[in-house]
Amino acid sequence: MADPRETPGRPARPPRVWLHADLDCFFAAAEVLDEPALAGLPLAVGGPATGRGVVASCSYAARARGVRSAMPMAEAVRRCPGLVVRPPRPERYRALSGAVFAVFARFSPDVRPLSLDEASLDLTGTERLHGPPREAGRALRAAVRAEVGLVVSVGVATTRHVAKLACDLGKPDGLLEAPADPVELRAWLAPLPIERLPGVGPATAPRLRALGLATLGDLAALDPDEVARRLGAGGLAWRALARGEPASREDAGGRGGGGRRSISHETTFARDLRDEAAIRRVVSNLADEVTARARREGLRGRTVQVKVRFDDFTTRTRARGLPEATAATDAVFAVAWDLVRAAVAQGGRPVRLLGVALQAPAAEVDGPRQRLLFDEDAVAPASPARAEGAGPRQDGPAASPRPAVDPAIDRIRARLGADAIRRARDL
Amino acid sequence: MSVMVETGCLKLRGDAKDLADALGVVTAVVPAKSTRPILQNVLLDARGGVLELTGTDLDVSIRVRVDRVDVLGEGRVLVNAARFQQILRELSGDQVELEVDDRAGCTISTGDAKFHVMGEQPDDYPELPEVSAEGGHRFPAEALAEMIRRTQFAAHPEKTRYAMNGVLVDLADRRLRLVATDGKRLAMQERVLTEDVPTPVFVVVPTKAMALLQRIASATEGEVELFVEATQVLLRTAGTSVVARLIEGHFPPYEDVLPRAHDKRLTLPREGFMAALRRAALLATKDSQAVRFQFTREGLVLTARVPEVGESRVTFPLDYPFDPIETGFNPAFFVDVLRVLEGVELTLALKDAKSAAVIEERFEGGSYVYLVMPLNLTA
Repeated sequence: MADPRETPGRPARPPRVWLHADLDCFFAAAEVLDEPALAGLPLAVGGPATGRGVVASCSYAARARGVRSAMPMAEAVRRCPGLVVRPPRPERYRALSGAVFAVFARFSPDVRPLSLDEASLDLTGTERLHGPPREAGRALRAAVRAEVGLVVSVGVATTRHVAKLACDLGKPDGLLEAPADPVELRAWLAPLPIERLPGVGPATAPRLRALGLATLGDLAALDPDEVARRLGAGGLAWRALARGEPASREDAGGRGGGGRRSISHETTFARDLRDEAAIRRVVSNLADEVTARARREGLRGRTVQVKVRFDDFTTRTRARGLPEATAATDAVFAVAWDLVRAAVAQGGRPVRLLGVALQAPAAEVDGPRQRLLFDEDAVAPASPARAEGAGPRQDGPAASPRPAVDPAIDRIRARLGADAIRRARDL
Repeated sequence: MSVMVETGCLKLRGDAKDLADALGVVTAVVPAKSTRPILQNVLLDARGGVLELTGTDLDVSIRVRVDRVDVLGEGRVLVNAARFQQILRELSGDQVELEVDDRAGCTISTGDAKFHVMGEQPDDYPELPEVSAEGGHRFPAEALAEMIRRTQFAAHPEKTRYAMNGVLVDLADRRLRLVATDGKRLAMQERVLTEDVPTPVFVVVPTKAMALLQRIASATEGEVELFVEATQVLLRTAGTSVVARLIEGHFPPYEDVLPRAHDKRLTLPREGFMAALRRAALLATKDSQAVRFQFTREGLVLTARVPEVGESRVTFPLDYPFDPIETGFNPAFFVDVLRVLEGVELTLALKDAKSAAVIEERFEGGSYVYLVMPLNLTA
């Protein structure tokens, strides 16, 4: 959403410096690193072409011949005969990613990972340490190449989104800095095609083009009211980005405490999970961690989001609103498990990663908070299995009275440590 | 006029308004859409010279006897409830006649109009759950309707908040209590009974069944009988039976939160307080339902501030000889209760900024308590 405090006429805040770093075709590059003979060959990492495998990552030589990530491997092989296919080695990638992030951490105290191979670094105020942003970017690229042996592309800009955009534009093996001056930045962004906006894909782009919005400049020039009317709130965020304006308070350097908050935990497994009981146990653990943290921070979530990544690296996310803001473990678990179970059933593959997030809207964070008559656990939704109109919970501890279980667990953990007590379903 | 009763094919003649009224009550239960379309029907069942209408959504079922109707042919048929109701509503005459053929086709006619609608054979219609009508409790219908009206609105609107999506019937120790809460406010009305309660009752009845009971009870002058079984409840008046599946979750421990040390008691004019609240809440939005309440020796000051909308400040004169309290409330929770109370004045009891505000009423044969939890404005 466009931040109202960013409207012209308000005093400008000091410019931020964001660096976006993204490893070039990470998994494929990791394979080349370990097997130098693959260098220069069309290479894809992913599931086998015989099954339902998809391309998780591919080399530039493969891309030149039409291979794209997320493409079914069978199609990739059809487009690119002679394509070398390697199965993913997640353990290895995680180790390399760890080494890369250790380098990132030297450049900024505020590194925000987007995935194993991508992160935003807030470089604001680090100039005396690392030199001007362009110099810092150059040093970071050199360090990653020398110490880990991988190529990382870097974009630098005054907002996070533009830094990512610059990084994408500079690939492969690039370092691109967007203009810091707002007027120049807008001119720099204007000719870019509308597809460059995050979330504008094959479905949305034609819709925008039909509205006469072919470039970022077209969108930047539109009146905000008109954007809101035609494209909704998401359109305003796109417009801000197209104008080189911060799309969020955080982006603009506001305090993290303001605005929407999200607490999340995710786990990748050494061995992919197939067993429903095992998956359920993990979801329960994640819900426990997320809600315990939310309670520590005095936060209640309105939305539960889950993430399921399968062995072929396809990822599904699902979210559902809660009837009431809560930090109750059972309530969050019930919804998270429901979502995960549906996603797993639909994916029909072994699971390699699970994540649970609890999101709180700004009003729950900043606004007045309703006090409650009863402890959350005393009134946690408990639904015996019913045919019609059943609540989200289909199983789990039935309708037993559970007064103050969460606070009791929190107290015990505060005294004796996180492992001192667990729910039976987590064992 | 001699009436020949046939069996096998249902045939009726009677008062159109009576039939429409009975159907109106039944359609309150019948789901408009259901994964089991058969439930969208009303069952017409004419036996022994009596017509009964039945509807169910499987959680709540109702059977209503229609009095001013002559049964000319006995039988059973299912008719789409919404369509039947529309037709009855549009009929002009006082008398209506309904005749069903052997393929469940229904002809509905009055003086100048005739409708033919396809019905269904009732073979697959779910059997109504049987509740044994023994060891019941009786209450005056009018009083019970009043108790429901003054409590039910506080129940949680969401089915997912399981045990709170109903009204607690707590019957013991020579008193009947109805209690409803959504976790933020709570309403309880108590009625003192003249006789001992032989078997205590502590069950949560779904709000849908309670709303239905209120409607039925306020339309009758007699009594309501209550029969409780392990998983269901039967509520009966002279011509109507409601069977509801009980909510199996645990009702929150409401007695623990009933007010004890609320020593700051004040009297407010009901209408004036409601008007002040409404004015203060004018600026409230869906996201921001907060009004600051400052109880001071000068009176009550209500302020609301909504970012990017504006501010309101309403001063309400009040005799408040206690330590000042500053807190916040969702004004809607007060407006709800002020609507169901009738008195010119009401008693508000406070303890501190973190405790519930309590509205109390004592009257002959019972009492009423309403609790509203405040907002934490400094969070």
